[in-house]
Amino acid sequence: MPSLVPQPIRIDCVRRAVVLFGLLLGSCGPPPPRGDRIDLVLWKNQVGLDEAAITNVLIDRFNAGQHRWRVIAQSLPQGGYDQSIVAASLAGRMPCIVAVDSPMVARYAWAGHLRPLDGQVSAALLRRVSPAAVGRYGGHAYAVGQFDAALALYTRASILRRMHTRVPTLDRPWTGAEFQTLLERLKAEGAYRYPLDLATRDDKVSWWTYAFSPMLQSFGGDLIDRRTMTSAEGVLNGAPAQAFGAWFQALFAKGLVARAEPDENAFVKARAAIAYSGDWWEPDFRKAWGSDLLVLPPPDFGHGVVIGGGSWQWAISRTCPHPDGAGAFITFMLQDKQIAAMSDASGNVPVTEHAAALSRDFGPHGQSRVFFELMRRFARQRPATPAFPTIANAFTFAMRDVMDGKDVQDSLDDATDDIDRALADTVGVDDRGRARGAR
Amino acid sequence: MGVRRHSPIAPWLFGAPALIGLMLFLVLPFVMAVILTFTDQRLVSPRPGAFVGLRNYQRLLSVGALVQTPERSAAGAPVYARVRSITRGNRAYAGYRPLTAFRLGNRRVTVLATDPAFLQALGNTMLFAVLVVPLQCAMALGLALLVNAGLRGQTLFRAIFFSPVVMSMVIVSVVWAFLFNKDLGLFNQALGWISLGAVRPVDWLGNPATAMPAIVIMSAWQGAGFQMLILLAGLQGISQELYDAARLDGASAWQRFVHITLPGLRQTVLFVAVVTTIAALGLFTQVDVMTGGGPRGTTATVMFEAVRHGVREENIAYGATISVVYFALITLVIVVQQAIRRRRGGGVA
Amino acid sequence: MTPAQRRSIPLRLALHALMVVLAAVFLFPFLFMLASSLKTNDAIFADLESGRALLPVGDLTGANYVGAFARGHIGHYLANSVLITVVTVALGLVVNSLAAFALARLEWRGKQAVITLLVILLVVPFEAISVPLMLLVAKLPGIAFGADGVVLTGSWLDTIYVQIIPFVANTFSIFLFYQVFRDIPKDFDEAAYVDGATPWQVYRHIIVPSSGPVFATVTILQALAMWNQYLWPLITVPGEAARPLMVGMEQFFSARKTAWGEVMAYAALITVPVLIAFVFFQRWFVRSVVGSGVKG
Repeated sequence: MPSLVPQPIRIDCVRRAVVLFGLLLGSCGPPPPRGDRIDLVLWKNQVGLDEAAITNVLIDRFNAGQHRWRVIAQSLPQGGYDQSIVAASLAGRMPCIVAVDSPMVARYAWAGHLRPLDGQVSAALLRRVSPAAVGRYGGHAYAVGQFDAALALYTRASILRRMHTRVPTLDRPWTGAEFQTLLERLKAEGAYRYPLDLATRDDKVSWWTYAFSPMLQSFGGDLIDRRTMTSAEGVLNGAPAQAFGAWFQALFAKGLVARAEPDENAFVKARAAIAYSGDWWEPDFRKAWGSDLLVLPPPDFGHGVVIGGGSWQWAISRTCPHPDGAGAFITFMLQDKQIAAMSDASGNVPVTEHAAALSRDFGPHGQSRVFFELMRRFARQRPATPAFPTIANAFTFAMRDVMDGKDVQDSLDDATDDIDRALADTVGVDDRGRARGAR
Repeated sequence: MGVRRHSPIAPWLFGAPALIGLMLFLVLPFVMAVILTFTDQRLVSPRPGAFVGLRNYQRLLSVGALVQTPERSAAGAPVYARVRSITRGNRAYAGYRPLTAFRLGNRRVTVLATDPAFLQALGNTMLFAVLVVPLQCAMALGLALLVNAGLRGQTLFRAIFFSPVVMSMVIVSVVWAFLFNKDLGLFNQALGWISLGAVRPVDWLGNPATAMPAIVIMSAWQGAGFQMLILLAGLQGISQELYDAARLDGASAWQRFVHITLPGLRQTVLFVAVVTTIAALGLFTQVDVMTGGGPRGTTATVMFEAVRHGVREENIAYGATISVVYFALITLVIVVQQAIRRRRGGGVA
Repeated sequence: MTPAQRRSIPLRLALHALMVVLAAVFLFPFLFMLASSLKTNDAIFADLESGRALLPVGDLTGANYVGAFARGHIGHYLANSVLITVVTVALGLVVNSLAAFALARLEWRGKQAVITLLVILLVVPFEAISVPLMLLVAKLPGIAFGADGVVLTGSWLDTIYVQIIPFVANTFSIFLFYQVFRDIPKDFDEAAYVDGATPWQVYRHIIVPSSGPVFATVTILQALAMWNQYLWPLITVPGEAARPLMVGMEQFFSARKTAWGEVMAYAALITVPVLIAFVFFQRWFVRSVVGSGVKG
């Protein structure tokens, strides 16, 4: 097929390419302004279908409800979200409104990418919102979420009956010992190769930190010392943390949890009797088990039940020329009616009492009420510090090493050293939590 | 060489577009990376990076040793104090962690490093390259010979063997992770069936001893189609007359392979080996998707460490230091190798 | 007579059988992708533990493909990817072959140093420079055609050309061209120079026509690399206007629960055209490498 061999490149070919190239640039300029409205660009992370759809509906509602502002939303791939913000910030092209994942708020605030919500979103309004849904740093609120998520234990009533185990309640959750006994009995019974699914198949740092640092807290440890915010020493590697590590390691050593389930459906396919997962799995579990499904609080390992709090939140960029417009938008999104609409459409947990009451699913008798209760009672934020990426990485690598049989104390010491160095490098010892970005 | 027949600026004109491009988009960022290594720059930070001298290099490369005598003996075996407790309690050892340990008489010598994960990753990457390059090249050669045998449907088979190269690595990894699964994966089922149950299920990606070999197998499988194609070209370049002549002389198929095919492919194989080695030294995606560097760091590679520190923990200065040190090591190897080859004569470049 | 025709029938059968077995080994993720792209999420997981995973059986649906187009904007991203690939490869062929010509056929001071530099640059992994490069292009002045006509912007971010220009000059391509150009007998250009030809004419009328195949090789290699580009656009192209195919797939992973059916449909739509192109071009590629210096 000699005709297919590219003939020597002719210059007119190049010229054509250059013209083509020029045409293309045309599509990349900013959209022309329309009418008298002021455009506010908004960046959000790409999410599930339902959440994306309802967010767009709410943005349309905001745009239709007033005449000063027009919010233009852009969805960014999650994998490069942070780098995109950094690059945009360097290039002076930050959007006005940005969605930020809750544990990252402190870092952006510290770096000066965000502006405090003071004066744009009323303090009274923020007080109505569940504390874990407000991103604070250095004494200022920088971000606020329209919704949150909640972790729960899922199992089936029939299994608990068979094992003669009581059904725990929000007021009286399982103790660590009760939970352990149940797992070992389930294992001994022989019906389940691995009775508990902790979704360890997902090796993402975000999941490991979100899912397992609350367990560490329930044991009495923590990621860092929250009083000083400058060290993890004694907290991440102290005696409670070591007890947690030993327990976690034994789950795998005893075959109570699979190191990696082959797919994400262990509980749906009845390979596992209990699953530890987020509220977003409830619809699938409900579909599989119907009224047999139980949604339970995670166990209390001695220091109360703890679940992770704080999901994606809205913030205003420091360079936004119209913070009042951004504030108006965020205030709108925090209306109980909009929060309820978001929750009913997407399954995300509402962040105010009134919104929950308004909502179909999260109201006092709604089918998802339990998640609101879990969030309200047990949610705790991850530490608000600029060193969070290192904290999350160090904790995750340490726990994965523990899972794979490495010495617990060594693993936790490694993580502690990594975190303390990152804290010293970023915040500095005399710079604890004071907002540098709040200038 | 003959008399120069062109103006002295002509070469620069021809080379300019490419050289400017490479300078701007390869050399300049690399120089920036080198400069970063002397700072404490982070990706997200309110302040510009400050000059910190060689601190990043010290944190990356420092090694030391700790010699211990037994504290006591329990049941005949000597018992030593916990290394981590010593290094964390003693200022002289601040920042050091155990890398490996060995016994010298009744003393225990622990090799310490400030970043044992990097040194482990360096070892892992070398191990990967040493395993995957011969395996992948051999597989590719076998495939090339097979699809060059003049059998029916060879175009289709070439496409099939090539298909993993163009498939999304994420999807390939998902399928392979399932194959490697301990309890339900096809690999263990097949092993159990062949051995009539004698072979116990192996947690391929979860066992420190098998995780890297599993990645090697998967990578060789994924990339072999590409090398096959290049080798196929080499095979077709060998004169058919040589084979005919050999056959007339009564040479067996094996003799023809050893005395005609292999020498004829020498340059191609060398080229393929170089390309495969470069790719192997940059191993990242498979590890990131399939093992996340685990179990216990046995599949973490240098690029994985660089991305982990430089991108995910946002310590871009430290990530750059890893890249620069690694680059310097590879360059050293190339320079030495080139020097040896030049003394022997010949070479790829 | 080809070698195969001389082989005994049992041997050919055995080789055929071997080839079929190997084909199965190499094809299964591809079959899995195709089969799964026609199934619902539940069915994909239900079939995973048996051979059904590789077969289009059960309740089949085209909904994933509809979703990939409707939700994935695959048409738009496809156009971007094709454009980026075509323009980069076309510019790359010219730029890199010109440089290789200067290195292989012209005499100048510093040439050896440049060649050594190129060999060394060959091993710089992209991950090593991606962050500094991102910092760089974020601040490079660019141009845009906005409502006010051509305007200067302060950044290359979020454009098509940020995905093209940094990748036109390519050490590996220069290296391939260089090897081929170097082995073309010098007699031709010597004669041409005697006749008063310029280096440009030598390049255009002697070197390029006698090394067509290596242009094919470089085309395939660079096109594959550009088509599969992921990390770079992920961090430099936040918007949808200039987003390429590979990054487009990310949105199906972004949700807390991956929509595997749509992921598979999307991946099939990315992969199948490349494979068809391969079947079509493979003879040409094989020949081209024969002609190039690779075979030695």
